[in-house]
Amino acid sequence: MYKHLIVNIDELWLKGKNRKHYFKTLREHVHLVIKAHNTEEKVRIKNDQQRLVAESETGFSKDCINSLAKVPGVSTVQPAISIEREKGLILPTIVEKLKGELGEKITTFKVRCKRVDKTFPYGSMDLQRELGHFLLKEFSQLKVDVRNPEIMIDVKVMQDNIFISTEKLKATGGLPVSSSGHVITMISGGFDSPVASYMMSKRGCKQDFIFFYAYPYVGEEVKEKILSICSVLGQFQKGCRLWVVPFGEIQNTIAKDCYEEYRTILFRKYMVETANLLARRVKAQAIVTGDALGQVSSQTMQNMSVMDKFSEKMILRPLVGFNKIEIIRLSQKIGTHDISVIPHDDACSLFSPKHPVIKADYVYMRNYSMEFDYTKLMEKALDESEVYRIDVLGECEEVIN
Amino acid sequence: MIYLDHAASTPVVESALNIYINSLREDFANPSAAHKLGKASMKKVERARLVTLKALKASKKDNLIFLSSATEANNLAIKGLDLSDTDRVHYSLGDHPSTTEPVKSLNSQLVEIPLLDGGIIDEDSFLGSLDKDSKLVVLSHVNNQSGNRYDILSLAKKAKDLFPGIHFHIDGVQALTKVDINLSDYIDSYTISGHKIGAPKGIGALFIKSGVELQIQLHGGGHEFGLRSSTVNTPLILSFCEAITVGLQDLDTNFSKVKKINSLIREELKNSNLGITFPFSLEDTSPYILSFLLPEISSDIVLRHLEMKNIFVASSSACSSKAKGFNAGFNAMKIDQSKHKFVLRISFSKETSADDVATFVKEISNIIKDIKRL
Repeated sequence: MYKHLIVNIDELWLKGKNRKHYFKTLREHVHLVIKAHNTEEKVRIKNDQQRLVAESETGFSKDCINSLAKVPGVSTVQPAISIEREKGLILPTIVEKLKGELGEKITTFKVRCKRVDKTFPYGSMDLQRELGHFLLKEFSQLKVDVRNPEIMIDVKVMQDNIFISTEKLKATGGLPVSSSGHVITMISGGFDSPVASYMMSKRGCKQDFIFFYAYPYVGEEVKEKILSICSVLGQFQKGCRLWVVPFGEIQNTIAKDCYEEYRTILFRKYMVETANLLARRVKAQAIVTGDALGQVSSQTMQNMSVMDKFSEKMILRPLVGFNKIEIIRLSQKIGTHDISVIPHDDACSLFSPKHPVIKADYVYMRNYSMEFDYTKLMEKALDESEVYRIDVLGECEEVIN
Repeated sequence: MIYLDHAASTPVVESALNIYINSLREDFANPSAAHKLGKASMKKVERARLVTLKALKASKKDNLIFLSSATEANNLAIKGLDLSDTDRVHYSLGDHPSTTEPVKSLNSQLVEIPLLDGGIIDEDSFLGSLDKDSKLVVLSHVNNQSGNRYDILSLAKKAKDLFPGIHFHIDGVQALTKVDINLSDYIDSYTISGHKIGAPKGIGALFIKSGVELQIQLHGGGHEFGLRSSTVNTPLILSFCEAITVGLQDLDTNFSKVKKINSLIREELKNSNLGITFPFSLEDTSPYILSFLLPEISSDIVLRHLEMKNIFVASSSACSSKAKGFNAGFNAMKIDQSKHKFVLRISFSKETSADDVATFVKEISNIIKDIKRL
């Protein structure tokens, strides 16, 4: 196990005066994740210019490193060996490390040196050359490939020590959670909304998830599925919540009162309005949905713009220009795909009209809302919600009031 | 609360519960122990064994071993016969997985027992399918999903007249305390379970006809005549025995009473014109189980609407309810696959009252009307 991790930060170069706050937010998140894995010790995290350096007595597990790679705002995670600032120690350390790692498959390498502290008396280029030369001698199977090496040997000379690493995990990147606002993300069991959530995590949004639970038209297994999905999404958040809002009664009431072809879009309207009510309660600034333009009837240009009129908060649609296959690929990457594919009861299929409206009439919907005011029903549904707290590792726990 | 899922499990009978609690307190000694505490405990178990054999109208010479569940009993009987790969095993795909799955695990030749519409056995085809290599027939006495009640004695007699060496293993879980059981002849092994008749979970028994030899599946201390090693669970056995005794009182009267209730529900649901249909006739089934087809509404949805009214039913057998859409049992009973998810099962106890049934009929009618209006 590695005792040092170098956590490189994304987009920091874009920041100006808010840089300090940005750094602090990310550091807190990194700290929470490390603390969740290394429960037995106090891990030290140092700020080091463009990066954070974490140091553990017991070491960092593979799981911990993978969790850190999910933290938005982190660009890469490098597990590293730390040695004293002595040139003579560098080569033996690399040789020993490579002996354990080089299988028959690895034949090309590159050495990259960086002097973060320029007082080190040897230049980076010289060091690179020298180390490369000795490694070629030591390992007859190896050749240098500066463009596409199979193994990259990274040497970082710091103020107090030297870091050597051969692995660099690409992380989520983007902005630290909470650095760009708080949103309500509408989650369903499909592919789209979890990916939409991930996109907004990547852009630094703190999220409250809302799921409209159409019990008794759907069963417990759907709720379990949503919890599993949110458990994955929670790993890209710095602690978040899921609101399971009982919605069966509202859907049934709407279905009976409205034109059949308007059922789906009206369900959606009241979901968006309920999400707005929640946004007020938790002081969130926007609503996030998994809409992709033209994907289904409720996601036509006209229907989306009608929906915007009923939402007090801005509706963010990070997938609006995505093709389905692109969404599915992303869901595979973030780990929600295998949960989303599990078949589940869908209340909408029971209620779904034969010909759902694709160009909804705003006036009809407005008049409908004036005739049937469901605000109390929506508030009641929110009051009766089951709320789950989800920690940085994705563990869900119901909040009991 | 109206509980109409007795085929899945039952509330524990008061006297069986009391016996269980007292026995937990008193019969703590190991029944295999050499001291008098252990011996006293074993004596109670032996008495329970005889009472149970008598309840099954079996001979004292026959054997009955207590074990943890019907699944264990079926596995022991089916795998314990040690059949060869040329032996033929006849079984019904309409039956519970605790019989069909152990059968499928055998290397023998598997032959399906043909079923006709309504879940009844195509007797001529079945008898015609037997030959000299037929060594085992596995069948339930009462089917857990459709409620189909099979005349196992007549079937076994006819089969054995043709090929006397055939072993008849019957799963009697849904028959015990519901319909008459007579194991004096023709049946070679028979499974019963505690929690379906008002005993706690974790206890079942396997009747084994004298002369039948089974291969040991659980090796150890040699309990239960060497056939099933595991410390003998006196409290559960005594409680099970009590539930059987209580359950057998007024069997015929209860049967008639429940039959009336079953018939009443069928009639009222038919008269309400909701589009409910009954694929299994009352004459061919145990009155304690009634499965019907909802009018193109997923039974899960109706189940949850009913539970909101504190009425508990089953959308299909609890063991297979996770696999949605397709039900191997209904498939074997010739129910079109597109309709499997519309099957709702209600199952009664002798305590189910006319009031319960009236409430159930009223509520399910309202629910279906409400959903149909959509």
